Amino acid sequence: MRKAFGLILCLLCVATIGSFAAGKKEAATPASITFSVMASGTYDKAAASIKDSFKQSSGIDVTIAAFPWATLRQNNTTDLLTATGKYDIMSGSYYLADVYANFISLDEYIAKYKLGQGLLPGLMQKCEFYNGHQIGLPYGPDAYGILYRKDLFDQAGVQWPSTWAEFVSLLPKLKQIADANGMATLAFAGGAPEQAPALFFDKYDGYFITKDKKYQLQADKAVAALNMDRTLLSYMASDFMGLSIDDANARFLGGKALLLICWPSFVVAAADDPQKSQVVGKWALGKSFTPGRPWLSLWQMYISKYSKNPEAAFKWAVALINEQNDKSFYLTYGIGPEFSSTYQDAALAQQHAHQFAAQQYNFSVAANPPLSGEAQDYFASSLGDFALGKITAQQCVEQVNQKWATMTVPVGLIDDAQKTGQMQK
Amino acid sequence: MRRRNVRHEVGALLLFPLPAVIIILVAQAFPVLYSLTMSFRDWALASSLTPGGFVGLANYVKAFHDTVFLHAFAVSLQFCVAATLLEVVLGFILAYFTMGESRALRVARTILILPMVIAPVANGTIWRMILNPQYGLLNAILSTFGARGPDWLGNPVLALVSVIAIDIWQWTPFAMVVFCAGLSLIPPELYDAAQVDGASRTRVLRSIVIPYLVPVIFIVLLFRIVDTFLVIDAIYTTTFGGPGFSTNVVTLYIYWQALRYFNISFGSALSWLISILTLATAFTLMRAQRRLQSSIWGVTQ
Repeated sequence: MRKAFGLILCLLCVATIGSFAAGKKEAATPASITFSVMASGTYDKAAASIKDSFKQSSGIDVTIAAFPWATLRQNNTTDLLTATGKYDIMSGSYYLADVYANFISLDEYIAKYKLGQGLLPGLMQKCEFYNGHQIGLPYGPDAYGILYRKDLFDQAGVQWPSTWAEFVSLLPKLKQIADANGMATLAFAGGAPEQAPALFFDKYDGYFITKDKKYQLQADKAVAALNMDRTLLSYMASDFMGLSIDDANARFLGGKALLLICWPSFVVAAADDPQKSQVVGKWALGKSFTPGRPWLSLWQMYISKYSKNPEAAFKWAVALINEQNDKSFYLTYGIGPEFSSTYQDAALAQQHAHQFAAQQYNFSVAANPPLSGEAQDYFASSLGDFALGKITAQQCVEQVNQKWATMTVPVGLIDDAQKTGQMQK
Repeated sequence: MRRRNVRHEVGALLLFPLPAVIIILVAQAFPVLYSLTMSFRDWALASSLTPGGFVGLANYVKAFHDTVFLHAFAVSLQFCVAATLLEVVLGFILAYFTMGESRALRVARTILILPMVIAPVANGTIWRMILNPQYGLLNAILSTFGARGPDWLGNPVLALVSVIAIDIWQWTPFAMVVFCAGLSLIPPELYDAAQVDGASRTRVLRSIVIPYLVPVIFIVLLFRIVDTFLVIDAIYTTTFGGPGFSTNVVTLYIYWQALRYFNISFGSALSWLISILTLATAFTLMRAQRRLQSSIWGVTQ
């Protein structure tokens, strides 16, 4: 009996030592994290370009999971709501408002790593907060804007306007210039359904959320913005509703459109590359007009509360967001710079004078609409029907307000709307 | 003693399918019944990790007042009717004209069923490229004839026509294969007798082929009606429901509600509405088949 007991004790000791050894071995294994990002050919490539050097310097292995925008949004949300924890650090923006509660507060990390120093003024404040804590870190800011053929504007003696009213009154003249050069006046990715709100946001400066915290468009301002859109649509290329983002960009790059309404970061690098563009040295980014708030695409990195390696995830964010990468990512991929030093670099500022000033201005006035994914999707589809002429501006606004009245505004977006003046006063 | 042995054996035999029964109950019956109970509760996963309280028929009532759902239902109906009818007719024509055992006909049949074996998502992606107004193959072909191709996926009417055409292209082979099987079961003596009687090809078709194929036609109709009403992949990959709401079908809307916005209860209610409708359609078709067959043959099969 004593012998048997001794044997069992011995086995238990061996098992305990073994499990400790295995634990040590596990602890010695380098940390690995997964980063979800949009497969845009820019953000994903930029992340991939620093992956190896990051592993060498930190020992952290990063898996980059890149998806098209809609799939990325879906995968991130599903991962959080099912508590899967597949993605440690996620790319997203305000449309993830429904799941903000699943991200960790980054306040401590930001203070510890002194992140945010040197960023464009106000950029950190434009990031997402939940219950007063910052949950998103900015990377790759972009503001919907208009690229135009500066050479043809100069030839015709046309100045870039400063208000939408001036721009609209200039459109007949711009059409003449475009026709004379055998090109379309305006190119826009009307075939990408989620892009439809871009035309509206930059002309609308009303509220999205009422005092009693319900979604609602300010009817008079919304109708006025849509009526202006109607005029713009009549100057679009006849097939604009079939153009994807790449198709619309290609049209401008190929010298077949006078103006391109776009996300600049998807096109500026190519526009300055003689291999990819026929408009090198001929284009400029226009300053956005008043009234309205250009659609801000402030990609942010969020750390999932299900991440087993939040510290490693934050180190990855720090590796991605720094002054050196800011410049190289801009030059290589066209990703919008977010550090003041990039804009203050004399050589760069001179080389990119056709873009920098307008870009900085556009960032400063751009805003994320305080809309949840569901609210924005419905709005985008309604705007699609409006663009097709199936409904009037008035009907569109009524239809949207009616549907929005049935939706709940996520708490995080109410704070955002208050901060950015998009809530009824 | 013997009776007890038999009982014992039956009991032991019943144990064999038990694991399979348990798996089916857990994997199929439980989720289905759970979704039914959820449809009577208030649960949006984004707001709460646990289901909310009982709300009775509120989600079902909401569905009937939801303009997007009602519009999506109308689009699904158009899709279902147009695609099913054309697939059945074209499938029958293809089967009828490729009937036979010659090498050429066998090769033709093999080629014709190829679209069916392509993954629907890949199929949609290929078609999106073919239908691209600028660089697409279809408009390139049209331009060689001097015609300017339209914006297939950007125009609301053409977009719906396009997704219907994609479904027809992919699933007509299914109808063809089933019709081929049905045609091969018609006794050859009937054709011989018809020939002796001097029956024309049209008469053979009307009096022999179609009556014999009635059960097959109903099977194809049943499968295609259910399948086209629940279409999602071709639309997800080509138009994503657009432009505007023009190709937004019920399945896409249910997918958005349940798995994109995580409105689990409302999504469940919509799913149950559509399931009930498709089941009702299936039963109606089966009854219609029995009636038609008894009127043709004078007996109920």
